[in-house]
This record gives sequence, C-alpha cells and structure tokens, in this order.
Amino acid sequence: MSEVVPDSCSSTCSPDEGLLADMCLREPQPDTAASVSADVPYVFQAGSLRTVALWHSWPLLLGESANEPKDTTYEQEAATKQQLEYLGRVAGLMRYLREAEAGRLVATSVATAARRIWTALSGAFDHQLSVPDACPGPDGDLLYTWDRGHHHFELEIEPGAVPTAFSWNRKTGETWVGDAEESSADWEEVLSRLRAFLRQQQ
Amino acid sequence: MITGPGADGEPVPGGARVIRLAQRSKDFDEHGRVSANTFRLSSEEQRQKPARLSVFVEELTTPKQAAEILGRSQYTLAALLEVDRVRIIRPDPDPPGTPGLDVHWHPINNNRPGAAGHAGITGLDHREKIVQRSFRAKLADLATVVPIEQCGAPSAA
Repeated sequence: MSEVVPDSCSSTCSPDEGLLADMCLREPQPDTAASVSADVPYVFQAGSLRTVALWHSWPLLLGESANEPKDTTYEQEAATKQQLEYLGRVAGLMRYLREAEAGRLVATSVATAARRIWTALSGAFDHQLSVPDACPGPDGDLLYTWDRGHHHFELEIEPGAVPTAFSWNRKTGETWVGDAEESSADWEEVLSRLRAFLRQQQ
Repeated sequence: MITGPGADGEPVPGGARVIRLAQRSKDFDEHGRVSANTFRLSSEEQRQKPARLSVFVEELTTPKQAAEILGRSQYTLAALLEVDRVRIIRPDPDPPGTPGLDVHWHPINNNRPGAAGHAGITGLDHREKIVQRSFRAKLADLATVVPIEQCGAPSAA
C-alpha cells in the first residue's frame, strides 16, 4: 500500500507508533473505498491507525491543484480546504511537540503522553475537535489550551502524573478540574466539556 | 515612582508593573497571548517559603535584563502585569479564607544589571488545584504581552 505523507510529517512519524492518526493520508483499502462515494470525505481504519482522508485533497497535498476533479462543487472545495487546514494544524502540533521534546523543553514522557491524549480526543470526536494551543511549563510539563469566547479548557501533562483537565467559563465563573485519562471516571466529563471546541461551531 | 527595591517580603508599591518572562506557545503568533503555564510555579519556586512566582519590577528591570538574568533562551516573551490588578484577582471557586495574590520584593544574589527589580507573586500555591488553575488562567487573561526582541537594548543601570 503506497503512502502519502504531508511535507511536515517527518520520517519520525512511523505509522507503527500510532501517531499519525490525523496527519498522514493513506490510500483507502479497496473494500472500504468501495463503500464510500469518491466525492465525499470518508473515514477508515488501517490497522490501529484511524485516518481521515479526503480523496480530493490528495492532489492539493501533492501540489497538483490543477488535477482537481472537474465535478467538485463549491461546498466540497470549501470542505476540502477546511480539512486541509485542519490537517496542517495537526501537523503543526506534532511538529511543535517534536521540537519541544528535541529542545528538552518538555520531557519525552510528556511529549508521548501529549500525542496519545490528542489521538484519543481527536478520535473520540471523529476528528472534529479543534487543535489546541500548546505551551511548555517550567519543569518539562506541557499545557494544552482551548479558548473560544468565554469557554476555556486546559489539559496539563506532567512527568509521572495523570494528566489533569481544567475548565473555566469566563461568563459564569464555573470551573471544574478532573483527571484526563481514558480510564478515569472523569473522562466522559472531559469529553463533554470539550464539545464547546468542535470545529463545526467555529 | 519606584527608586529602589524594598526589603524581602515588603509589598511592591501599587501602580507598578511587573514582568514575567514567558515561552511562546504554538499559536502565539495567531492570538498574541501567553499560556496559563507561564504562571505555573516551578519546583524551585514552590520550594521557597513563601512560594513565589519570579517577576521583575518594570521600573528597575527591562525585559532584556530579566532575560539575561534568567539565562534561558526559550523565554522570548515578556508578560506585563499591573500590580494593582494582580491584587484584586479572586479565584473561581473562592473558598473562604483564600488569600489573594500579592507582589512582594524578593532580593536575589545577582550582580547583573536589573537584578534589583526582582520580586515574587505569592498566593499561587493554594492547597486546592482548582484554585491554583483559576489564578493562573486569570493572570494569563490579565497579562499584556511583548516580544522581548521588541523591548530595546538593556539599560546600563
């Protein structure tokens, strides 16, 4: 199976690591592709790698915009552009984590956890969650931040600790903290609060 | 006007502004704000008694001087906070008896220019995590951010 990888996706992104969930585009499995219209976005599984791919986005990713399908509608083109922008933002997050780790601004365990959490969250929302801002802290930790209007949400990832979430509604003053691990009792609440940052609502 | 530093633990006068050095977040160029992580106490700052977040009083220290004193190249932003506004921040939730944030002088043993302006923000080590996080998020909202390279040369003071 051939593989198409955006420029920003370096050789360190091995599909085996499961880190390319939103970044790398693969050709569809024949049986999967047959069930989906070639004109619409589709989601498919490739082993442990869950990938969103836009068939129309391939020429654009490869710099071959002149080869766009002729029957593409305005809405489809807009969706494609939006999806490409999203993929670029995910690639940017992965690049930022890689550089922060290489520069020893975040601990390796933190960078690994940050990738894992993003993959889990992105998958939980079928790749509709906005890509968070990210910033290292003073002791090798990392903070993911989502901000939209009065909604503020953080995920704090520290070496050797369970990641913790913090939610704040600037308008009402309501706050909440909880563990941000898939196995924790707070996970559903984490997902519930992140719904304020889904891409369709932008 | 501040003419010199106060004694250790003495409040920094109202009307002053303090500088907290910050790292650029991934999306800084889009939104121009600092992350709440900027106001997270380092393990070293937590060990101090009282725990205090390291800042510099703007009238005595330029951002470039602060960066040179800190000596870490990744801190490329200066988050500026008005002391009076820091003191009136209340956390959400606000448990009874929670002390507010304060800004105290904190002399350091350093001969570099600008070292006299060193101070610390107290109150960020509340026993409840939710209060700590609330304080940090509100400080991030309050801060005015300037890239250090735009702050001019260090003064000869």
